[in-house]
Amino acid sequence: MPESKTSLIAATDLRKTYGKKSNVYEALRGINLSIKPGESMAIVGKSGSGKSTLMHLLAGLDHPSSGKIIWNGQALTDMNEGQLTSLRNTRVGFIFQQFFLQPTLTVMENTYLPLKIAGVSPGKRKQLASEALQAVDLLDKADNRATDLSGGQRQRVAIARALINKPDVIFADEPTGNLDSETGQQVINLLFELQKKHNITLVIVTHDEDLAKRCDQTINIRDGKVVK
Amino acid sequence: MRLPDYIATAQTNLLRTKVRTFLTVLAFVIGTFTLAMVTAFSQGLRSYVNTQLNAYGQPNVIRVSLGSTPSQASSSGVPYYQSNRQATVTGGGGPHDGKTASYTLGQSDLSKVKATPGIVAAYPDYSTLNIDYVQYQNTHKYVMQVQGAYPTETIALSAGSFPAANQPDGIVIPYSYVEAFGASSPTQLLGKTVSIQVSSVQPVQTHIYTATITGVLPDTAHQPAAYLANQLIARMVQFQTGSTTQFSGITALARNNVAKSERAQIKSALQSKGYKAETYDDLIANFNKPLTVVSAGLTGFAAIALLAATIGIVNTLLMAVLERTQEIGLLKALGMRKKGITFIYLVEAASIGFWGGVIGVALAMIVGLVANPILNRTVFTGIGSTHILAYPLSYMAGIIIGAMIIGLLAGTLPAVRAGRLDPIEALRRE
Repeated sequence: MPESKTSLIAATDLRKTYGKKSNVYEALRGINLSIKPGESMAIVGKSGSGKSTLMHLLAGLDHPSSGKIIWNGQALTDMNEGQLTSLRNTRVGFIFQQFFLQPTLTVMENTYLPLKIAGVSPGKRKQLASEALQAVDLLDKADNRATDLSGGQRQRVAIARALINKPDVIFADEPTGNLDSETGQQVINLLFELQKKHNITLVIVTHDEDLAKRCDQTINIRDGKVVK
Repeated sequence: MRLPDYIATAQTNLLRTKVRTFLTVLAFVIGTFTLAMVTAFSQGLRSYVNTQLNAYGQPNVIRVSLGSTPSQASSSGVPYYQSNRQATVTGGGGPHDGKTASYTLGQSDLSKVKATPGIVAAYPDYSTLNIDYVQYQNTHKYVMQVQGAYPTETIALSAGSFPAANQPDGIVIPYSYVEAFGASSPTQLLGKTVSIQVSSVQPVQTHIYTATITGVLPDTAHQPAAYLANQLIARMVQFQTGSTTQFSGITALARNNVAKSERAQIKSALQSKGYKAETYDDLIANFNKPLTVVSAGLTGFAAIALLAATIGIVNTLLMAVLERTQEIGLLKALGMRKKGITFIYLVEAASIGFWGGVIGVALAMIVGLVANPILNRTVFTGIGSTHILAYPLSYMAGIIIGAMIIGLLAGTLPAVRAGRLDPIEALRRE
């Protein structure tokens, strides 16, 4: 697929192989895609299809074995560790299935973790974290330990954390995987609401077809290839 | 991330595993405590020794003598006879052991020594004089060693002063003689006279001299010889040996406040003229030699304890890295670089060293606070207010910094491992 001038992220012939010699495993076998700014995209597939691997590559968490990923005109594959890390810190937000909040930190401390890594002053990061927690309606829990919260609340904190550095893209890997259907709905609603409000590009990896329908674009992956 | 954040995060991380951190720090405390106690003991002993030495010699005194050198001896090591000099020979029990001779010195040597640059005065050393006894009023007759007091002696006395120019028969007695003479305090004896008997060989006769006590030496563990006024001892030597033209050594004086480097220069100048020179520094070195050996040995043991602690830390930190892979993966995903992760773990390791050092040193200082008064009253009486356990701040700071460096070294391997973790693998682990 040709790169669209308006695409934020464009992937060309992405391949990822693990292992050596006789134990080679091809996780991705030539993926092409293009995501526009502000768009929501669902990457759908069964477990083992390679969808998580694709997300990791698009987010700059891993290098493809071959192929190119262009972010706003810059090739991720040309970046070194420092540049990739900086990119993730400033332009990307992550939401994981298992939430990955640090249990010993408070909700507030978990929320401003990306800013702390970036070297933002304590005062500033508290202020921004309060705003982010307000947006997910959890400001009253700011000083609680993350372990005091329910699953849905934790995922909302994760959303606040993902938003705090005002990213271009949020990558969500099975965001409702550990939540019951009702809570999952609430979390997804909140996520879409905030995404549209701040015009953030959203990439959701999921096996849930209903969730995929709510996104602007859907890519189906099977055995490492895009299928229709 | 900012440096204060690294430090604060490291402390928080250490507190998460309280028991494990406590045990690791404890291992360090054992090592640093031992090191601090060894340092305290050797520093205290050193200053105690220096205080004692003050009774013996001052920095500007140089004892000059003449010893035989290999070029002045046969190939089997028997020293030559030198005309104008008498010799006492020592050494060499076996047939092939060299003997050394100590030669007497004369007036020409005195002139040569006086002429050496840096020397302001030189006096004959009559310490080979043997007196028979000293007696105060009608108490016991006591034996006593004597030496000459040269003008400008600056040794601090417990009472009185050295004989002045107008006290040609003055004597400064050692502290132990105060009680021997039946006095209750040193000042009681000032101005009193004692009788000193000296015998001569040729002809065989004895003579009793009267000396006036002008001062009393300080109460130290080692008691030096009594100081007799120069004229008095010269008369005694004349009587005993029939001449004052030969003496066993020369006491040379450099200027007051002479620097250590100057002392070394004077020493080599005298040595180039063929003399043996013993300076204040040599005196200190002799006293300190066994001290240095012992403290080096003890420090070695303390270092071994620290080494064992280090191995424990490497193990502990490696486990910590394994347990926190998820946390590391998250931090990397959120934008922390390899270097940043490595730095977090290095700061944690250095913190363990820091706290171990601080607590170990503090404990050692508390032991010193408690033990010093007790030691002063029991084992080390009579040394005034010198503390036998001394804790110079620079040494204590050095121990803490050393502990931090060791912590850093121990933490290097785990920290680098943590930095190299693949974030995806790390996040996959549950």
